[in-house]
Amino acid sequence: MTGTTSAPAARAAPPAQSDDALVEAAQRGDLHAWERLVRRYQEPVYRVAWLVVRDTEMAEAATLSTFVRAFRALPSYAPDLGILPWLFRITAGESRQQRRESSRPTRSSRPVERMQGPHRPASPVPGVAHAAGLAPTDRTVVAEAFDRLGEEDRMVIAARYLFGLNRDDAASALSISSAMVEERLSGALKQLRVRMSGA
Amino acid sequence: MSNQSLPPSFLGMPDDQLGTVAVSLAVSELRWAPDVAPAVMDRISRDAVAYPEHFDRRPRPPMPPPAPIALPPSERSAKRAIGRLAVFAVILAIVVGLVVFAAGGTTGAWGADASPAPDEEASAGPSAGTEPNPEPTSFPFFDPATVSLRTDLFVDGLDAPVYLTDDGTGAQCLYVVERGGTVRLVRPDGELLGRPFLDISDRVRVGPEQGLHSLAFHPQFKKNGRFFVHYDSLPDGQSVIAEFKGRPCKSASNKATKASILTVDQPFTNNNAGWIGFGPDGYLYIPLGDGGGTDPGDPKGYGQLAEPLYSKVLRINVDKGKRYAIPSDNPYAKKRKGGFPPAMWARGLRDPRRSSFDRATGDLWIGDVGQRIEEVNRIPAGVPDLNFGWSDVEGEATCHPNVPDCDPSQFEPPVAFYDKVPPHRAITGGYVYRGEVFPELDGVYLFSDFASGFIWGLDADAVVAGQPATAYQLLDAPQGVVSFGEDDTGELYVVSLDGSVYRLGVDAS
Repeated sequence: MTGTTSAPAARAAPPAQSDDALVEAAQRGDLHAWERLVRRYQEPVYRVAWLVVRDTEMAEAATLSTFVRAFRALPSYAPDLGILPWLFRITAGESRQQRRESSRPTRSSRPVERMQGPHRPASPVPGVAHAAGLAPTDRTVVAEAFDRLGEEDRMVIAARYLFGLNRDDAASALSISSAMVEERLSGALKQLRVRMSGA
Repeated sequence: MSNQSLPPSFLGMPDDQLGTVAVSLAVSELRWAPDVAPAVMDRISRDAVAYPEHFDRRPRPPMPPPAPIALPPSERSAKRAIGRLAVFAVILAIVVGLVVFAAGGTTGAWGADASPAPDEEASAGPSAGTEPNPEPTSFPFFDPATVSLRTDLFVDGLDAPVYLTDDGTGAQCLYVVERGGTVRLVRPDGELLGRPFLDISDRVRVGPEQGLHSLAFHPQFKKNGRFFVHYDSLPDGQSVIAEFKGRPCKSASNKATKASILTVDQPFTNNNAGWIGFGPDGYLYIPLGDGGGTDPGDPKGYGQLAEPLYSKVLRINVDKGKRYAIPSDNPYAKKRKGGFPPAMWARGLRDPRRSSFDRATGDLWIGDVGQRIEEVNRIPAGVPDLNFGWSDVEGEATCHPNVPDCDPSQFEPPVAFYDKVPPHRAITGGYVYRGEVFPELDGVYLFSDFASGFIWGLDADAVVAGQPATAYQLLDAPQGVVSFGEDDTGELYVVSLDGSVYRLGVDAS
């Protein structure tokens, strides 16, 4: 070490830990590792939840319970399944549960507890860039055509193109065969085209 | 909006691109995203107290590992004798307490003197009387690190088997219940006999959660030939408990000796429970589900309603009455306080598909399939009127949000529980092992999950002694487990809906 002083060199950001490494750390009881995974995937989870429940508060509650229940289930997590398909599967289940509970007849006048956590502006959805040439009203047409699809169709599209799962991972996420993923996806996109064209 | 305004290039884009754009546009109206991380971490931190580590797939003792104890048979017998003595002591204490109470004693005396403290029960372990136990929390009967479970194929070629049992006569055959309405006979060497023991398929309604569920032999079956079955009947799917007569290892008449002991309408096709069995008191126990419906769970709210039989464990005397009689010590046998049915013994269960009695202690162990949480519940021998909380509560602390002023402490908490998340879906209650072949398992409650096929073990003797229960995953079984079975010697079997039955064993470590 010389006697000269200088500004410390800009330190390169540490490489992001892989999902597997974070899951392994969380399985060992490292809560910070789990928190990092939550922050990494809470937005796509929230979006998928919203596609199921179509209510932002319920989607937020489903997102919360997804990560809580996934943490509880970590001891039985099978690494060969992959964290994303696993999270997608839990998200779908939790979201449907939220929807069911919201329709359950209440036995008191006390309102169902709602989430009121911190919010921040949503990150841009990458796929929107492909729609750059569309007028705002056309975007609405596309979004509404998507909304009118059945839930199974919406979920297979979400698994493939929102969560970015490949065919086999989507099959795991949806608990169906890979062939069924292809079949359902093909049918869903066909339906989408039909609805967009107004047929 | 005119559809013609969509550019042709857009309509003609490849599937992958179209899918990406459509779903992205659909979610792009979400301008804000919640940060749930703080709430998640807060919930998890609180769970550390309310949600202990019941399910750790890496076998490790909850406390400093005790020295493995492989008790010789004589000591194991002594341990069981002590266990029975402990149960007897509890019953005796209750009787004494009742006498004291009837004689004008105070409830304080009842509470203070009649109920042995957990530590007192713990002190009845093997070390009692020989050397002091400096750490009563240590309960070294079960060391999961010494247990390596295995399953050996016992018999296959069955048609959707759902249960296995023995008849208590020492006859050389086991009885395998098939969902479609038949009971098959299997020799101890695994030979499947051609003629069924029973065939009532003409009156059984079959579905994913319907069919012939179980079979219970009367404790005096060898003398009186009586046995009982639980099935869903054609055409409406009512739950039926019916009595038949037969002989060990021989085909029985398909004609029920009584039209039915009990018939319960089922509003839905699921949550029909299924197991029935005779307790050590000679009474028939019938756990029933909540009537079903999944969207939402318990849509009719039967779980905590007093009057219906749903969600109750019934306890009846089949040796008296036209069809059955109510045991005089049932909690509501004489006074219909609160409107509870006289046959009720316990309540608040959702779908108790598989249960069993610990043949050493008489405790009833229940695997209750949940809506979101799978539970292991236990009714200590002779303890009536427990309420396990469904559908107000699942697990230890998860109140349904629509239940006013929910207080989980008023309900009997499960011994153990886990989330209904992949790969798990439905608990399969099992047995406390009391066989002779595998002393490492003595006193271990073994149970599974139908979807994952994992087999867990928790120390039932420790639970009885008031110690924390930790369930250890002992086997990642390849087959879904729909039931366990127990033969007359206490050896256990694993029943797979795929048509096979396996004998449970332990690999030497």
